Amino acid sequence: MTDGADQVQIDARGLECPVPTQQAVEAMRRAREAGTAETLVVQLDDAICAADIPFQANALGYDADSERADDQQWTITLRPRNAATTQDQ
Amino acid sequence: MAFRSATSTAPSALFPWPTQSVVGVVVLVAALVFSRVIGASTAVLAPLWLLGMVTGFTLQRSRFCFASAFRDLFLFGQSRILNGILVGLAITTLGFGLLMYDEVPFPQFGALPSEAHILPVGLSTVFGGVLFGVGMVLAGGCSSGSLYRVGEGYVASGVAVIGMIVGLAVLAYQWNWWWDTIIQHEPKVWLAEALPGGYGAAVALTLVGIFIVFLAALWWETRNGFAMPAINKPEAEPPDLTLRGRLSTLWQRVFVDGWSPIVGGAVLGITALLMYLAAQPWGVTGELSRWGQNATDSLSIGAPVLKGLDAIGGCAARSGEGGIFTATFAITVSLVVGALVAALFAGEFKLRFPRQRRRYGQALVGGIAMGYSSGLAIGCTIGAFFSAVPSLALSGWVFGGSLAGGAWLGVKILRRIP
Repeated sequence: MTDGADQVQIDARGLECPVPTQQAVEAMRRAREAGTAETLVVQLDDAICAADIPFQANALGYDADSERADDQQWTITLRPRNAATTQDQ
Repeated sequence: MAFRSATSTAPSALFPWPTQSVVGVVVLVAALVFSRVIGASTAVLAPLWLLGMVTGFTLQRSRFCFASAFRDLFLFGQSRILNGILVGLAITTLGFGLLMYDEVPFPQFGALPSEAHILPVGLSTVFGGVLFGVGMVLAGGCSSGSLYRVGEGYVASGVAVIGMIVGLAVLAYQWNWWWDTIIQHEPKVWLAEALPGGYGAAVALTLVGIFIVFLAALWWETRNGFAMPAINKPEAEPPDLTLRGRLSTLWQRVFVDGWSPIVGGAVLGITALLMYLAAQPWGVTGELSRWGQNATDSLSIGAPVLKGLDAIGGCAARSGEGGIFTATFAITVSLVVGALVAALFAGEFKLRFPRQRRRYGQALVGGIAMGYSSGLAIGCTIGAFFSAVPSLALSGWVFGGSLAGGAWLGVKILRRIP
């Protein structure tokens, strides 16, 4: 979690709801509080969390881009919408 | 600004996940045939089986999870799924009111509608609700939630269901103590009877209560700095307006993409209403309790005769039904089958073994807590809450409030687990 890092990887494969969402939300909250603007990449295979994370991200000021592979794997890329404004919230 | 549907990888294929869809059709046809079999001896079991399949299908499609509805208030500070439950409750409250009025037009004379979930309210409701709330957060799903996830292939959820059966069986040994000491002294408070305004006042008060919960949850969300802006819609791809293209879009929306919790809550509300119209309100605990009792009975270590079950109603009265194919069987086993069909059509079925071993322990302990407490409170999130609030029973509100308290406690515990 260093400032200026391009991407933070979260490997939540094999973890079940709500753990992957928890990990993603905590990472986004930490980044928001620290005012960093890195992109988070979450890998997971829990369909419930794959559906939930974009909603959580949206509310935390992140854009979520979700890619599903054929074998129940999701890669969700979370990009801060605007680092400056999210800090003000 | 890209928010894309998680499943848009194969938008144009009519059957995006062929193998699973084909298996899904086979399971669906078999389940439909089975509704004829189960309905052969007792006709009402056929519609109950089909409605149970709809509940399982809907739970899977909308990711409708009572555990997360309560838990996410405290874990993430949001109420997205809770709002779906509230929509379902508003629908069932109006419908149950009409059905109960049909059976008991004059509530002030003391008769209760025979099948409605109007349960004793008191210490057992509060203790049961709190314990259930903790259990469902630990297990990662309540009774209906764990059952539908079994249909999707979650192994740990199966462990939670086994835990529930164990917990219910354990409670059976202690039930008579609870009955003698506590439950038999607890009143069944039916708002239609207790309020001077009868049905009108009871339905109005329940709807106001639902609205107040909605407002409170909204306040809670904003207090937590969790204001949900409108989510970005998927960027419009050029629509395929051919018949094939439009059918494919329709298929995608219903069978592959998830439904919103509001849609899920509305469908579940209507399904629960039809279930009551056909026979009885929706419940899950009765059948699981029957399995526990059958298991202990067959080992000749069965619990003594349980006192007071007929006086209570709800899931408790039904746990004593004999035979394999009962009404509770029809609405509970079908839930798993409906969820399996939904998961197969969405290409989401997969046997999932949790990476963390302790997940099994958590599921088992949470399941046992849920089983014991749902026996005590005479129902779970479904029977003692989702079917009790619209029965205009005070017990539904007390159980719901206690569930929220238990979920809060459960989140505290969950956060301490590394």
